[in-house]
Amino acid sequence: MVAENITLSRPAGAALLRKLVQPLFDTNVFPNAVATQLLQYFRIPIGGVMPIAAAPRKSLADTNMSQAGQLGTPQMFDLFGFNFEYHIHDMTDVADVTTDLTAMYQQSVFTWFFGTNRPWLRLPLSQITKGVSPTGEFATGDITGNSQFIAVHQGPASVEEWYNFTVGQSPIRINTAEPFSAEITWPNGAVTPVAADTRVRVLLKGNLYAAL
Amino acid sequence: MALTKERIEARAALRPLKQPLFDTGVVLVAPAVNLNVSFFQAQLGQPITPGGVFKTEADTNLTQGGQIGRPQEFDLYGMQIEVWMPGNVGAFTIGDLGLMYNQSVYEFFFGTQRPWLQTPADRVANGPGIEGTVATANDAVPVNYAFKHNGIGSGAAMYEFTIGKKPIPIGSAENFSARWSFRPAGITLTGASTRVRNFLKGILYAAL
Repeated sequence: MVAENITLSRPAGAALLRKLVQPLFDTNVFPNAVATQLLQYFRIPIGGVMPIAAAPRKSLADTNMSQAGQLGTPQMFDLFGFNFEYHIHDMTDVADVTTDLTAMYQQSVFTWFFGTNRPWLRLPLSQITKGVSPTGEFATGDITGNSQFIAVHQGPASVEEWYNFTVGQSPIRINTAEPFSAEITWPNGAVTPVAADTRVRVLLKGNLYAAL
Repeated sequence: MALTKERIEARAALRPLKQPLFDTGVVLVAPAVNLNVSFFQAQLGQPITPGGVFKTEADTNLTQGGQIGRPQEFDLYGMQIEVWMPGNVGAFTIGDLGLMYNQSVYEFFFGTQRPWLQTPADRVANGPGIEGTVATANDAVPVNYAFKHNGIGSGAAMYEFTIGKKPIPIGSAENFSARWSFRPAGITLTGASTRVRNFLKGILYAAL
């Protein structure tokens, strides 16, 4: 029996959702000349402040998260895998970019959290390929003149390159309001980029169930 | 009566995750003579080389030496050996890469030092690696870029260890390890000490 001044909460309404091939993505900055040991993802939504002073607020180019660490109601997501993009800021700065790429990948760890900070995947970042990337004449050919181009990427520049997280083709379902995040860490010690601030992006490959 | 029955071990609910097992070793620069690098024998917190720094989560995800620990289980599909250059220019030479792969053998042990795989190490691909312009080509100017890797730098590149698509199961307390052995007289690197990682690609069954 419910007392007169106590009411039951309303049941959540069921929404009609459309299944889309739509990744979730978020961007951080590998900050120039700053000792870095941690980069976090999916914790600052669109409109939020990037973690370095020089960067503007996050736009749709940086993330499509509208809430911190979770999908907003009524959205859901089926996670199939991951890409990690390192955006080279200056393709002629060969020596510095090569140094920074080594710093980025050599001893770093990628961790994917689901639920209350429980890691579901933890492995060297080098296992997470970039996927699509510049390729063609200048991207791969011209290195003999004064201009040297460094269009390099982790793994071949193909849409087929991503870390497949499915088991038996079954994706991981992320429901509305379930917390998730990702981070890159350097457990063996901080690294310091030497070239410039570099944008680094994590993409969750999968199907978004969006409201009609 | 003093005799008791052994307790029946509780069974755990496990979640399958696409999570590789990995471990790291170091091939030391001159004057060291390197005979081999062992993998999966020293866990997190143990020295990465004799007297060396302690292993962190960047180096291994093994919490016990030579086994994955209860209640975890693993389905093994294949292997990769990742060689990471120590710097960007010149520190790691193509000669060192040749020394490491020429006349070397990769072995995977299962159970009590029983080898289940013995193959020339160059048959075991690096897996994902930096691809593109200066990743593989630039030796024409006095700068050597070190993004070189054994095989195409793709996530799909690995030594396929399945038979008929079926993986090899590794139980909770079953022993396993791997070893990369160089030529009998050993090798001496001229560039710099080099980190090498061994990945066991597969599915980890982890506690919920």
